[in-house]
Amino acid sequence: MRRSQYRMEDFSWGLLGAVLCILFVGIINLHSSAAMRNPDLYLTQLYWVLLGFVIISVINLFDYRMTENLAYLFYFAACVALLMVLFFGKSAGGARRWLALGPIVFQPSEIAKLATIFCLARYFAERPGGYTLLGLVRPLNLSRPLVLLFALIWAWSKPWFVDPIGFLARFLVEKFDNIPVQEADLLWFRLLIIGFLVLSLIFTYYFVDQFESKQALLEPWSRAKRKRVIIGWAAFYAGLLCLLLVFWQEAWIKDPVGYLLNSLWKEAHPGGAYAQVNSGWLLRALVVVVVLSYLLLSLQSWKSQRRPNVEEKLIAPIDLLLIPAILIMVEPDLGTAGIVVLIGMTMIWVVGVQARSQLIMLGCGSLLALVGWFGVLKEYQKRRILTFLAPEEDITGAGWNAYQSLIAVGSGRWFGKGHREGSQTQLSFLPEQHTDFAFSVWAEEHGLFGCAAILFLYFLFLLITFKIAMDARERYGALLATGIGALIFWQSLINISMVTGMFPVVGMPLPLFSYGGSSLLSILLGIGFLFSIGLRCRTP
Amino acid sequence: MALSTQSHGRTGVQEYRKRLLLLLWVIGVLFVLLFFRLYNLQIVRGTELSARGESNFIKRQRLPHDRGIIYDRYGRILVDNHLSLTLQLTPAFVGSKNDQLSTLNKLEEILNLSPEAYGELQDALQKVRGLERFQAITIKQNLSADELERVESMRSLMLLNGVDVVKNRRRTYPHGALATHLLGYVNEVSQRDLDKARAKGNPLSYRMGDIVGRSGVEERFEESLRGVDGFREVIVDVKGRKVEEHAVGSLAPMRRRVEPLPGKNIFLTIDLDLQRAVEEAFFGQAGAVVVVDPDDGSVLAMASFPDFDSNQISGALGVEVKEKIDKDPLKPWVNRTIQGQYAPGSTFKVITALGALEHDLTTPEEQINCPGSFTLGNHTWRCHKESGHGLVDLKDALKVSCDTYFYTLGLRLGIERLAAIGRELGMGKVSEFALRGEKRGIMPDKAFHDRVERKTGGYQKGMVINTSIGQGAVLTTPLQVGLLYATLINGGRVLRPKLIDKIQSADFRISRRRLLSDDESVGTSATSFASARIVTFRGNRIAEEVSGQGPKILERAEAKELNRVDLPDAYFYAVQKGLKAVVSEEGGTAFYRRSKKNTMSGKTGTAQVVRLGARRDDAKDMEYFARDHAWFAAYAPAKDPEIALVVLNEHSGHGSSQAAPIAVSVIDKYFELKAQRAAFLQESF
Repeated sequence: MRRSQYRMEDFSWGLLGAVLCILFVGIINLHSSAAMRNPDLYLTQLYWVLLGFVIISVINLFDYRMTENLAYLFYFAACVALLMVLFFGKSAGGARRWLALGPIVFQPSEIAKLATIFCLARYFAERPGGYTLLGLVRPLNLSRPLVLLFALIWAWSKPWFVDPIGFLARFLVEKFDNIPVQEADLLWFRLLIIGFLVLSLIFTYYFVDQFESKQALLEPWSRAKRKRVIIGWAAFYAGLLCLLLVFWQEAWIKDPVGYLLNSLWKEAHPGGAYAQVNSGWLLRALVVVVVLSYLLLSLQSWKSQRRPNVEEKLIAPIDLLLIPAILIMVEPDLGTAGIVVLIGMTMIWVVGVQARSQLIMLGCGSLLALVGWFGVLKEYQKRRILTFLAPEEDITGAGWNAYQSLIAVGSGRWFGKGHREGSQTQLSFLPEQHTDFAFSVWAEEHGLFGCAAILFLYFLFLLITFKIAMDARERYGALLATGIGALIFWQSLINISMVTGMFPVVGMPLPLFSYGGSSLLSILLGIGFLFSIGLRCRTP
Repeated sequence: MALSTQSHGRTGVQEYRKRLLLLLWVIGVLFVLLFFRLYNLQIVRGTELSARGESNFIKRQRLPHDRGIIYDRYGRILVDNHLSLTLQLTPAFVGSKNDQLSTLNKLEEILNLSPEAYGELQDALQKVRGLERFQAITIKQNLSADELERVESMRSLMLLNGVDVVKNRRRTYPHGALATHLLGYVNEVSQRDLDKARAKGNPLSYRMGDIVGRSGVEERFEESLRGVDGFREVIVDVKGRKVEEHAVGSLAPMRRRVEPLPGKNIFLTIDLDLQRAVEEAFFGQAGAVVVVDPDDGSVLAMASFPDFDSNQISGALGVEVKEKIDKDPLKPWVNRTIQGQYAPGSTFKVITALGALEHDLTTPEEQINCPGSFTLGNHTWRCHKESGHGLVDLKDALKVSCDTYFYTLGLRLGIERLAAIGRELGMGKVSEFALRGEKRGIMPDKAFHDRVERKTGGYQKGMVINTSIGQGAVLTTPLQVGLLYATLINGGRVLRPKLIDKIQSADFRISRRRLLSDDESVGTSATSFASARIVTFRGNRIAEEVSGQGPKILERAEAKELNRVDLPDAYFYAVQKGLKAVVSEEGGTAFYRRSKKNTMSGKTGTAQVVRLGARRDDAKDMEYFARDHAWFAAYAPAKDPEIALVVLNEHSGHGSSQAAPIAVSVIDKYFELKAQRAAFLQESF
């Protein structure tokens, strides 16, 4: 084991100062925010901090590069823990997030964030940048159709899958009840027809040369050819789907058997209505065909792929962040899942992605957002997202948290109402005031000046963190520092946006500031590695 | 710093640098955006959001006003406000769905809510949205001590969030059914009332659950009696619990308080003791008594029977009582003194007499023979004495109530002239009495008969004969008859009956003291107001000297003359002589019923309800609603009268036996009270 050299003069006192300041302010704030329920909670937090600094010290005794070998193991263990939480987790408020290991109760999702950072750091440290979208996603990797197959099983009897148009129509009626559904449908149909035309054009262009000859089919595919195949088939299926959706309301596609019977028997039974058969099976059948042919295509590609080893063929880079993210999402903990994706994306972006792929990703991201909105999100999640835009509309319902937080922040004015003097806080109007909305408490009691100080401290922290990343001795350390910096950046950005009404209310604590042992310890663990990376930035 | 030592790029970090730097820039920009968002919220929108925050924790509690108190002419309380406890619920503060259900079930357990009430509350909790959730709903009024205790014990365990006990004032009528028609009753404003008012384009300033007068003085003087609610602000936490005083801290100065403005107090001309005497003296099932001061028309007592207790009608319990009253065939709702219209019977004869004298158709000395009946054409009218009265002059005719005498005078006068003098004396028109719903009665003239009896040929000559003894089409209210006798003795002045003596502003010193002492205390306004009022009443000067905050007389009712009957005093004197003879001379219809203690004059009346023809049945043998009305109109003392009164005993028989004794006991009581007052004044000065 390499015992690295380090110099104390490289120790980042600035980072220590920023971290201590934020922790100190957080504990002071806790003294006020938890005064109503548990006045001694700030002491508990203090103990967590002390424990955290013990961990930091221990970490700094060792070279961070030791963890490079353990990174995949750590990642695997975290994924197992995430799986376990789905089956044995302690359920609270409609979500299973906590796992009890003997006397210790912890949130595997907090560990998973760090594990993902370590895993990605190692993975990309071993592989140079310049990634394309296809290189990241590798759609013909066997894992993708398999995931799709699982998704299919999961979605099989969901209402939006059985009857997507009906689902959409109901949703529209519910959401924008002053817009007539027909009008919305019409727009939807026009878009679909246009989509169909475009996609069928793309398909025919790429499709033509796929079946040149039997011989060509058996040959290992060139990179360009693989690309063509993927795009052509994707366009084909998408066009088919568009066509299906365009005619979804037509009787012959809704109920082909009944339509046939009716048209045949029309003379025999004038005016007689036939029993309508529920034909959600049509869409299901289509999707099954799509998924199975995708699976076949991938198997074919599996044989022709020249990858060095099996896991390379099986797992694409993007999977490394998607696996924990999906596992966290089904807990469900949308906020943390999103953070994992954001951290991973940030790291990949720093590693390097081709400009065109970045653009495509942006497009796909927006598309995914649309699909996610209509398909994946639960009703309460959607309501939360919508109400952050106008919390005043539904004060007593979903908007309550956002509204009360807005009031708390806004009534802080320049200098705040003073420590333990905030009416929103002390009269408990502010929900989750010592955890997710701790910043609102600070804003109410210390005003814009207090907030500016906090923002400055976080920015200082991030500045030093990314400086450490830039000065790191090798890629692994740089990527590790980047990942930890991204973690703190995204969490603080989302949390502060959330409490100031710019982001939907998702369960997301403010790192180092909110109360919570699991979150605090995992972040202090990460910060411990930051110190370690900073200390060992020089080549021997 | 360390950059130069690492620039050989062996580690490959170099390629990340550019993007890490860009990332830092992006982060910087995003943090600046966050700062501007905070600036926008805290500085630009700071005032607005602070105000919203305040409305979060400042809950406005209504401080109900005291409705004006009604006093008698000597400042004794007739209608008062007592403390009552009301249970309220504010949906917004109840909490989650589970809390709502448990709160509802607990309330049901404590109060035995009806299923409808339960359903209503459930709706209020679950369906009401938005700001309306912050509006309190009344669950129950007049909480009993037991219920209060159970509610408070639950509240102290935080089990009934959003439920408050509010102190309210309940209208009370300390004398029960006394003068109930006159005073009226109050009720809660219902949603129907509000809707109706809104439909008329006249949105009242009332809110659900406010008290509003429904009849009598309560209704007629609603505007004066009603005050303005005040409010106070308390600091509440998210569950609507009032924050303890020591924990309020720096928020304390934000609380505002606006005192309620009590309603104006009304002093009636009624004499409580006399009113009580009237109600005690009255016997029989239904009827009316009016006592007026002939000098200025003040109504000293006014009672209608049967009566009811207004205390039982207000509030939720009243529904059953009301239904019972609705079904009563004697119609207790009707204020018979002004809304009952009866044939005046023989009490009317004074008008016939005055009419004949006015037109020189007779003299007081002229004697007319009464053979027991009177014949005109082929129709005969009986005198009540079959054997006849023989020769009678005016005095005797009144004394024995000779019908034949007045038939003759009536025939001489004719219907038009009789109607004219009747109208001049106030018959057939409203007396402009203060209360609503006064009936005008009927003083028939030719046009009236022509109109009403068109089918049977209009006016017939004999009709005046019936009218002349107060039968036939003529109808009067008891109040009209009372005022008629007042007019006889005050020189022909037809007075507007006076009910309101004065309207006074509330005594702010008292109300301030009550509010300052502590709003938690029960606030015994009844007694404090009363004592203060009596002090004030005995020497208005004292109160005015103290300060402008004391009670101030806002309106004082003056006597109003509606008409003056321009007849020589001698005519009135002649009639008065006859009325005196009724009670003071042997043979007078009320001689045996006269007062043994005081001098008086009066006139009996027995008004037929159904035409009997030649039959003469005893009252006891007849169906109740077919029996005669007994009248007695009187004034006392006989010389320089101080009071005029009228007694109507519905369907009871003869005036002398069924009405006169009541009048006599009222008169006796009046002079007894007068003596007591004189003795009291002598003692106190």
